[in-house]
Amino acid sequence: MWYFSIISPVVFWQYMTLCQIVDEGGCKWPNIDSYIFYPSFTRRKRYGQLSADCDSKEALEAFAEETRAWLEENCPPAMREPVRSDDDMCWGGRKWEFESEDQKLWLERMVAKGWTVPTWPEEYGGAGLSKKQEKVLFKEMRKLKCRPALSSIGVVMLAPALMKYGTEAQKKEHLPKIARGEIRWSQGYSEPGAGSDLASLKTAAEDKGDHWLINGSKIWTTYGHKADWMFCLVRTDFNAPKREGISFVMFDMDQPGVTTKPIHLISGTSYFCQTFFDDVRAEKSQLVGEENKGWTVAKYLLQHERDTIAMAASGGGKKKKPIEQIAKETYGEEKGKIADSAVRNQLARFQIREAGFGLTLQRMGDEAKAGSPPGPASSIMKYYGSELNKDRRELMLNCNGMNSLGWEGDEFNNGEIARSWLKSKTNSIEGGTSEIQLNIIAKRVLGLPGVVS
Amino acid sequence: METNYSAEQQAFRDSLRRYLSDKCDQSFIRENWDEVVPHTEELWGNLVEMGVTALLVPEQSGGLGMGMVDMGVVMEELGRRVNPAPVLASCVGATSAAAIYHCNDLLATLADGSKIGTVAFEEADKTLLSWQQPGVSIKSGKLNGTKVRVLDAMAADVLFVTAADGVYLIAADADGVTIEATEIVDGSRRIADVVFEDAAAEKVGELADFAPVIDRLLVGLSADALGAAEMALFTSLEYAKEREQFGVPVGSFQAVQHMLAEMFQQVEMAKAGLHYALWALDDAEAEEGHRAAVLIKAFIAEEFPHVGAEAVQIFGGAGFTWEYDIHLFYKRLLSAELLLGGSDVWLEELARIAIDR
Repeated sequence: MWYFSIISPVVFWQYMTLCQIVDEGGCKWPNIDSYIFYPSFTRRKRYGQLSADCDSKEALEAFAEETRAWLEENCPPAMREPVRSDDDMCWGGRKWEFESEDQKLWLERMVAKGWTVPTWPEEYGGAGLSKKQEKVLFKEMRKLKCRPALSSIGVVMLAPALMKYGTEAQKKEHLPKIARGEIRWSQGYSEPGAGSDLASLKTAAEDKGDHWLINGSKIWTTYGHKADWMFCLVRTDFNAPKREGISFVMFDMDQPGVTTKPIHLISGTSYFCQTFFDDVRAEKSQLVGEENKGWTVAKYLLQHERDTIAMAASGGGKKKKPIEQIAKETYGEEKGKIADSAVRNQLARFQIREAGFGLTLQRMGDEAKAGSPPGPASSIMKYYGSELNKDRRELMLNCNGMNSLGWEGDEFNNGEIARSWLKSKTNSIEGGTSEIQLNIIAKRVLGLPGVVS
Repeated sequence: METNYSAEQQAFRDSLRRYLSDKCDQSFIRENWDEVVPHTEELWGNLVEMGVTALLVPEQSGGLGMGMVDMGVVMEELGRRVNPAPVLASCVGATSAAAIYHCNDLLATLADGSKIGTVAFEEADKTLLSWQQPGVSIKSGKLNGTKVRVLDAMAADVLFVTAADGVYLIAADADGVTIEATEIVDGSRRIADVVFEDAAAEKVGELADFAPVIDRLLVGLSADALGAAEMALFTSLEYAKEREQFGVPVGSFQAVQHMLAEMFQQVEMAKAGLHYALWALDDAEAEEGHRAAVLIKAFIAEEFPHVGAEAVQIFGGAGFTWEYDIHLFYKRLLSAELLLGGSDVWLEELARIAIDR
């Protein structure tokens, strides 16, 4: 009924970068230029964050030193160049073609250290680091401008669900491959007829004893054409109430009967697919959680997805020219002010909202560290974050004047402004539309009665 | 949601909230809506007892030596009950000025509540941003000119006044001081014009040092507004759950739900911004404190009137009757928007410090 789950890789990539930033004590913001006054939040005296007993200051300092030395030794210089586009990110998987030897080497070395998933237990391919050690690692990586070695829907989306609901055998089978970037995952949630009303999904799973046969179609499967495995919501009981007949299954996409078709988007790219299933086989051993209880797993996973999108909306990590500077170049300056006072005012107006968002995100981060799990409040962040990002892109369009119209060519940076603007339109749709988020706030946070249909 | 407050602050908040809702709820302000001085001695005495007047007074001057984070708790609670006590003017404005200018005798009397003070720094023909060039003149120790929108001047015993060459302290009943109340839409607050005609005053210090007083006032008023906005949201939310039309609560309609969800989101964003500003005024450099104060005042001026207006809308016909309380919160939000400079003023200042550079 609520969710419509799609996620754009650009947003995802921003998230990967951002995890590292936000995770560092919630005190550094990617968009430093407009947050010049936040960094000193680290100087919190009275309201300092909780600190764990285990990680002593000395131990962490030693770890930082070790880490820095290792990174300097092992991170190839090319992997310290800024990420120009999604193509520079390593997504891994069976079909993956490394952009360069360096990219391959970097992944291998990080995998060997268990640092693609630093806090996971070693048996699952992690390094068993503490949260604080992970923070140190990310901080050192950022100092040296190291790219993330692996971007992965498996790491961010599937793994938390597997850790919570998966069997030991499933964890042992899938987590190490996710950690090593060997298997690339896609998410099969939305269907052509089941968007916001996700629970009405109709992709059918027919019980064949030790396996199911799946027939139907999923849409908005991010990079479905490049993925190896899919985690998928299927209907295992057509007679039960709609949320009680859904199961969460995983299957290999490399089998007859799976067809993926990229969808051409308004920004000119194609990272979403429609995926068709014709008697596709899913083993019973690949059921996550109980049969017909898939909705619970799906919701858990979606909460992570919403946080992802909200966080990504708070900026993105690419170092860019500040928007104020762009506006000054487009409209000229008068005594140091942007000559167009309406644009200047718009920028100020945007800043207060951006600051409100950033500070709220930070506050939620602090709360999470203090032990409260992500709750329905993540819906506010998803809602506001995507609206804010759309506004940011709109403002960018204004500040660039006629240059915003460019679509191809170096002088227009290949239409980056227009394309980003168009891409931002996905933000308030993917991961649950803005309207759905408001419904969730109304119902789960404000306790209002269910919507009358 | 207030994980950033300590247990002591939370306990302080709880006792204030209990007192205000038991003894001083909205009916209190209704009774005193038209009074020249709308707070009572009993209310003031209770606030003194709870330590409100001594909060920002340094310990060596007989105060509690607390910070704006603590004062934020007070302001928010007063805002929640549209309380008319002159806390912003006296316990934030005058107390901060007295501390900055080392007026130690006055500080002791502000701390024990025996005196009420205020600060006068706005003038009719000037934007607030040029407060450092006041038109009030000084000649052989005598003030001439007019200050406007002076908070709680009618209740005040003493005033800090910005004048051409510095900041002056003067008794409200001194010769040459005339206080003319201005009636405003929000009867829970009082402001006045103060006219000085050859009024002898004592210089306490330089103009530039006065800046933190304004920042503290901005953040104090924002905290007050947050309290009022929370109540506007809460009150209309409860109403939406109770009021039935078409046989169901109006809160089950998606249009109404989305209004409330938006209001909730605006309140939450302000909370984080406010806490940051309170913290920054206590513990950060003055420059950062100033930016944070400007941000939150601009934010509440931009966003909160919407919270109030939507609350009135959710109340339907009841929303525009005097009988229902919702207009009290709306009016409190309107005055918080415009007093001490509206969003035009503070967006301009934000642009100056964060965009022009």
